[in-house]
Amino acid sequence: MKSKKTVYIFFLFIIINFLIICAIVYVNDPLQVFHKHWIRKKNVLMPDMRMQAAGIINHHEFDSIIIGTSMLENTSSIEASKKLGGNFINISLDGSDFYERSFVIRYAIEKKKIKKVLFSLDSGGLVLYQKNLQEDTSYLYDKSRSNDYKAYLNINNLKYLIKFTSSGHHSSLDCPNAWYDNPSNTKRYGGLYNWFEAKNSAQIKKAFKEISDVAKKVKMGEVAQRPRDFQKRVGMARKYIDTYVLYFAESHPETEFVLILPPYSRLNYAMQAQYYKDDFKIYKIMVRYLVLKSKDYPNIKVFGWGNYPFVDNIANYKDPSHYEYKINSWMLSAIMQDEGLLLTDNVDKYLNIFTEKSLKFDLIGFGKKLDDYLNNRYLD
Amino acid sequence: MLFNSYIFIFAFLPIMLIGYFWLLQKRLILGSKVWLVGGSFFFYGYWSVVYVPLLFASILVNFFVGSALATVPIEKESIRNTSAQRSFFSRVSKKQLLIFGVIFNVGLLAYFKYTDFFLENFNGIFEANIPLLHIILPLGISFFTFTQIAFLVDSYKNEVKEYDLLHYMLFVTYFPHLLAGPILHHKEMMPQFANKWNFAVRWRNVAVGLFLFSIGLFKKVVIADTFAVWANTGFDVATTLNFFEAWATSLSYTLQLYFDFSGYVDMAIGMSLMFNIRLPINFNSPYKATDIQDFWRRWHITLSRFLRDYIYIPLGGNKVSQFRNYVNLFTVFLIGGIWHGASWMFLIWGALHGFAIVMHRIWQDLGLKMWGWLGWLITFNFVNITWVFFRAKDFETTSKVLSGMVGFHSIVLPDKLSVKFTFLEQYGVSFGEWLANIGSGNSVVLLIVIGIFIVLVFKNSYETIYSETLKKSNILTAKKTFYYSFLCLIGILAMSMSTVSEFIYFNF
Repeated sequence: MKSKKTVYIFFLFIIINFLIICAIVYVNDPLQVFHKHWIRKKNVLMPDMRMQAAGIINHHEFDSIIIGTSMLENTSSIEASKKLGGNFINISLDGSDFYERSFVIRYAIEKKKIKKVLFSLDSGGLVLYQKNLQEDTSYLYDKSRSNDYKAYLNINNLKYLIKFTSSGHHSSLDCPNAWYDNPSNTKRYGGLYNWFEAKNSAQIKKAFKEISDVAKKVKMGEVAQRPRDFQKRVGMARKYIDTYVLYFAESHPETEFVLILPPYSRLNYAMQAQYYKDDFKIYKIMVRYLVLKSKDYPNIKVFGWGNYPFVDNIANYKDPSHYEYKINSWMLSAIMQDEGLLLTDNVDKYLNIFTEKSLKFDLIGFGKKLDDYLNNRYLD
Repeated sequence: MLFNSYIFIFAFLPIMLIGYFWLLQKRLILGSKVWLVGGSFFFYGYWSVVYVPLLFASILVNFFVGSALATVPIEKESIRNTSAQRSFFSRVSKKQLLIFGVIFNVGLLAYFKYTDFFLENFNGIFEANIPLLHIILPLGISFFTFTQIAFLVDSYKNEVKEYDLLHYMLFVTYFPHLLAGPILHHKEMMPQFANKWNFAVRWRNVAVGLFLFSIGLFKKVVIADTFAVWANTGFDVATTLNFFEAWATSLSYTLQLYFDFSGYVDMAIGMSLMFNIRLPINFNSPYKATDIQDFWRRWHITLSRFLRDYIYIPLGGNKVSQFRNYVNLFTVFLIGGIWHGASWMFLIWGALHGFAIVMHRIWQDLGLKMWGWLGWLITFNFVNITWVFFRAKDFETTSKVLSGMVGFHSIVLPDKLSVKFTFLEQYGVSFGEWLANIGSGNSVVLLIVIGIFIVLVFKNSYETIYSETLKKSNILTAKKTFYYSFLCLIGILAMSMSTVSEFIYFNF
């Protein structure tokens, strides 16, 4: 072949192959960004909810959303619809902060008439005003549809493109990214011994290390130091909540926002109260702030169960934060009955009990138990 | 500007190529060179314009020192050309001038690269509290410094045929090699820019250049960046690593580094070929090496060449006593190590390779032999283990990875094997999330196996394409064109999804 012709053919091949790939992407469209499935079964969803939520919003029927982190991923949307009314879908993004979720909420509210939003107030957002995009999927939630093809320039989605089958992660919109049925999670419920048994789990290793370190520091009378001035942090946290949570309540009074303080384990709260003292204070200030704001915005309800006994029982948790799925179910019932609803006249009492319990927890003793185990002296 | 960026591929490179050949077509030879120099400075300044004056000053000083070296007679004899030169050079010998030039270059490198390292260690040893300068390393400084030291030495040896500032600037700044090599000799580059046969578009070179560029792009954004995710997690994020995680981490980095750097070089050689300029090869399937000397003949060939010609041979090479020769070899690798970066880790890495080279030399001197496969196994594993020092940012990270690699007590196998292999538990093996700490599923194992298979079995880009351009064989078949265009397209698409984009050697 002549050299010049080779160069032309080289570029021609690129264009032809590019067009073929575009056609495959459009027809297959596993994320349902462009249309509902043509080839796969109707409800097959891909596991990356940061990507998948756009397709759900574009092409599925619903009027209420559950959008939290792993704390709400196990919440059944069918159960939520039955207990709270409306037609829920669960599009929770694991590990997301309020900033990241704001893209999805804005898009959902603009696309559909949303009646209710169940939103988890995770401490990463509430206290640390994080603005992390675990992956930038904002192009899926803007007004332009022409840039949505970028979703397929992602190695994880590519493999679903190549597989022209009905395979996917979940085929139910109930709680697509539920993790409660994963054996590596279920075996860790039931008590501390089951955490020890799961010693290879990255979450457990990380948790053990943190608990042990924090307990030692508490024993030494140390307190976590954060780089910023406390008042400045409070101001930033407040501004963050105003921008990424309250803004939606203010601009969409027709939508009810149910703000849930995820009930982490007492162990977790104890670490906050006894070592991360500033964080704990900010947490309480923000809870009080939101409750006060709920007076101004009748479409906001704040729920917290940090003073409940189930939080004290480590058997309900697979690590210091993640609770069993029956608690997700219980929370829906509680919301239905306004149990745990925080109002201006009960928030101080709630926070006092919450603080008292978190300070009373024997963190040093717990840390010692862990150290004994880690040093192979655990005999039980 | 990164080679693997849309602006480079779709704007900068085509504009440079079209402009260059258009000027040549109009017989504006000087203009074409100015075009390349200007474009190369733009390429350099696109990243950070702050260091463009530094690059420019470094070029000027080296050019004038090089020019003076050509005019100063050897040792002690003063020049008598011009009165101005006479006044300055009458007391300066050629050797002194060379030493000045080398010190200038090494001093520049030392200031920008090693000041904070020196201060840190000084503070540590003497419990002083001298504040660090936090100097940002100018891109490519290690490369353009070595390139220019080579020029000075060549000038000293009267091996440089011409002294033209524009040509010299072109030689140093020529954008395909500016940031991460290959490290070039003046004499191998400048005749090519002067060759009239290179003034017209040579479509065969363009086609082969595109093929090479495509291979490089694919190597970088598809292969290297895939391994980078696991390597980065293992080295930088994971707090502990079990046996398999540690091996997956180190092997991922071993493959990442090769595909990253050789990908960069393929792209550089490919795009340079489109300008009808042949750059020297830098890699020749290094992981096929059966001994450590063989490895260094195949890995970063132009750096090895520089170290041999400008450090090892001036130190006496092998024309000295056996012991002195061993010391020289070790010294060269120690310098090679610290050249890569200001850290004890690089120094240790260099020392380990120096030690291995000395061992290999002793082995040879004793006339001992080894089976090829055993030599490969030892060499590959040695290189893989020493890359841990090269990659780790501190001793703690090194210890984490290396202790995992020898931690037979921390063997974890996948859960699904627990039924058939329960008996292994009595030997300390456990079952569970066996690769969780590097954020990977089983795919990392498969891809490492494929990666090793590729580097061991496949011919490299030099063997498959580049060397063929010197022959008349027909490599421009439709099948190959389709194959390389597909690699190019996948590479371009993958650029959008790549989370790791900078070439590793940009940090050196």
